[in-house]
Amino acid sequence: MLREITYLLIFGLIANPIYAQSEASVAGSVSGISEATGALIGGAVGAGSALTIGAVAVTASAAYLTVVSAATGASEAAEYTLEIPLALAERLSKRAGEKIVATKDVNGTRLDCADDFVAYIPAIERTGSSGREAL
Amino acid sequence: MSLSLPWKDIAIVTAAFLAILGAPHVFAGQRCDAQIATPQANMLAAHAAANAVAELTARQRPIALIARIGQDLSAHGLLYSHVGFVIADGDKAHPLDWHVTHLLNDCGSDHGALYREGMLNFYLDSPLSYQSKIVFLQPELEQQVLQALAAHHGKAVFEPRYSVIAKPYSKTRQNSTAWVLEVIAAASHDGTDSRTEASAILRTQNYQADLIHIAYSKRILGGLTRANVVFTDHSLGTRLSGKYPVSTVHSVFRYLRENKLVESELTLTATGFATIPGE
Repeated sequence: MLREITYLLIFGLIANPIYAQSEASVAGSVSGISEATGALIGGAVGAGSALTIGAVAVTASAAYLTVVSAATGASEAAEYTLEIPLALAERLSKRAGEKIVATKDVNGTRLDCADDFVAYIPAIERTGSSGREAL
Repeated sequence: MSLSLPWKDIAIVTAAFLAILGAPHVFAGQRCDAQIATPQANMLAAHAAANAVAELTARQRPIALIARIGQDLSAHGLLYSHVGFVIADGDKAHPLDWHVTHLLNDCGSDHGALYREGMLNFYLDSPLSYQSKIVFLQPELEQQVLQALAAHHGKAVFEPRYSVIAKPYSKTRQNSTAWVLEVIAAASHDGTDSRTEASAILRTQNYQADLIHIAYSKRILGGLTRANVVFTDHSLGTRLSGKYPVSTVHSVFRYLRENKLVESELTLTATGFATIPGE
């Protein structure tokens, strides 16, 4: 009998069933890049600024990348911070100063450094906002 | 006479209990960590959102239902796990501005809340797939729902105590799909501003919930420890049978079609992905 109970308990842990619609909510944007920051980086790309990898900061639950844009005739040098997946942090932390390649598609701008897909900046005017507010 | 206890079995059972107690997913009110989408997920969500915005804008309708696939419900024969209202609120400066108004469960807790969010965020919320379904309502109903949401954001028929398997017409629990259903029912009858009246309308229009089968063993071992799954909302007979009537996206769309309340439908995927059949 005890064995049966044990198996039942273990089965319950493994099965962990999710039954019907359950939509977990998180506060605000989940993209890791705010609309304002995205717009600024997008503006720097549009102005022809060269982007490079800056510092990477890691906390217990999150990682942050600083993207550095070089000065151009039209704009000053600047730094932008965006949240990145922890899995990217270690590799990017070894690439400070390396060039970021920006590739535009119809819905946004893709940022790559070597083989790493660093970030995707959505074109908010096409995709709609990434904001969320309680009613 | 000596008493021989099955110490090995007892140890295993004890370990299993401890494992349950220590497992993070079983605690009521799960943590609500921010989820940072991968760049790849960001890109796919952007494509899906842009696709939806373009299709919605092309049809020039002010409001529709939009459903997404947030989790795998195929074991129950279901595809879409969540539905809300997608509403145009663009102006001359931002002609493509759409947002979604919907009920979300707060981080696995026993409460829900109403939110208004941008289209991109709607597709970023950890989808299982970037496929979505848009259902346009008949023009008269469309205007009624639009006016109702503008007036009170659907709060008149909102119940903050949440359960994913809320019994249809329950006065004590509600899930996100039932809220959509009750907003539509209330809006279709002027002056209806309570869940009781909305439920009465749905009954007269023969709304039929889907039956979700949840085995007794799973209920005991999984359900009772999840804050957002409340079985006591259902009758003893239902609990014994294991067949729970639940408002699902599938049942809402079926109800709308049977009552001839649908004007047209659209299934969208992110570019390059095949359409998953089902609802």
